[in-house]
Amino acid sequence: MASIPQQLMKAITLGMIVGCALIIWKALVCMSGTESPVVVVLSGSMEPAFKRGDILFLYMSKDPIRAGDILVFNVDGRDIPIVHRVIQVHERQDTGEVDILTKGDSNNDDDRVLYAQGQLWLQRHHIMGRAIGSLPYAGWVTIILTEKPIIKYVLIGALGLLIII
Amino acid sequence: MTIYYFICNDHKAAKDSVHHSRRLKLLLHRPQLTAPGAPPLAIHHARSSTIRVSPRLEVCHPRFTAPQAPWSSSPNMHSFGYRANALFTFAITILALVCAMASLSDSLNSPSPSAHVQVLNINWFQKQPNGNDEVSMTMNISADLQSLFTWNTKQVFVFLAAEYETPKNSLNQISLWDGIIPSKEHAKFWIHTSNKYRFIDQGRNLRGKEFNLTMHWHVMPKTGKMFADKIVMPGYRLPEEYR
Repeated sequence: MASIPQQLMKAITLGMIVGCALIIWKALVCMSGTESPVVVVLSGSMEPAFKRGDILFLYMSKDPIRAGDILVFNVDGRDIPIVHRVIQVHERQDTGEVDILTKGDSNNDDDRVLYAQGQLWLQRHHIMGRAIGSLPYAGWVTIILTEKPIIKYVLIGALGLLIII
Repeated sequence: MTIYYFICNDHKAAKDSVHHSRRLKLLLHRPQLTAPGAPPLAIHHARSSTIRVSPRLEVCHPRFTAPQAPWSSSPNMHSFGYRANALFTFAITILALVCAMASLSDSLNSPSPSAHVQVLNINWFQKQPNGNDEVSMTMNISADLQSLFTWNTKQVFVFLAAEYETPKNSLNQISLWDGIIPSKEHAKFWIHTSNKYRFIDQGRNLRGKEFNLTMHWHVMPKTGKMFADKIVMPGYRLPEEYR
């Protein structure tokens, strides 16, 4: 068992690493203009462009939303955001607000079945961000950790043991 | 009287049992501190090498190493964990760098695509029960998008949108047809199709409406940044009356 000052040094080092990671994440959130600048594709509805397990980089700018944009949006009542392409845009003359209809590339129908009951269009406040780039296969770690939570507990336990011992 | 204060961490000197018990050594310039009867200590300068002053007393290197904090632990630089960590970090960094370079190489490409759409027939043009206009049409769509493909291109997503203005909406974009081009060979195409997706307005504004048919494409890379562009083909017009 290491001495108290040694343990303190280890704890401080760990705290600094966690602090650095948090700073980098918050900086990313600031730069991208959206609350989640990196998301993992969970379903295959945008194949062959984005497969399950890819990472998407999001960016939200004040540019108007146009047909063809790949948007990540939240539907009221669903907690997992959806990544699909815009196929219809109707922009108001006076206010600049938009009505948007989306559809996954490999789905046959548009997303009206996925929207809330009675909702025909998406509005700007549903949109989390626009996908601007991707990295294939990099998101499988997150998928495995989410779908098999046992692995998450094992990993955290092992990390904790490494630090203590 | 000068006092040399140094900490001996010379491994060779640690073999001597005398040194084992003395991590901190105080070396004074006063000859009377040597063991009685032993030859006097040789007075040596701080940077001299090891001098054997007596058969048993070995003075270690009087280097001025920085005082080492007694609570810090020096890690083993050759352990498996350390090496694996260094290797993994290096590999990930190089991978990210290569992906970024691949994405940058896409911007060197200057594409020259072309497209043409001919509206052959308006199949029907009606007012829906909910009050919105709907049109169905048959088109010939031809395009040459081969210059968009680079080695880093996974696919090109192409779609044709009808764009027009109404009193209520400054812009309406309705996608009529889309397709995925998986490779360069398929990028030069000619198809004869009716609109894949329903052309429904928000209202009853489509009679006699002039609209543009815009061909949009999104180049999706194997890794990195996506590019999008379009060709606007103006001059199409819907009939004045429902049919």
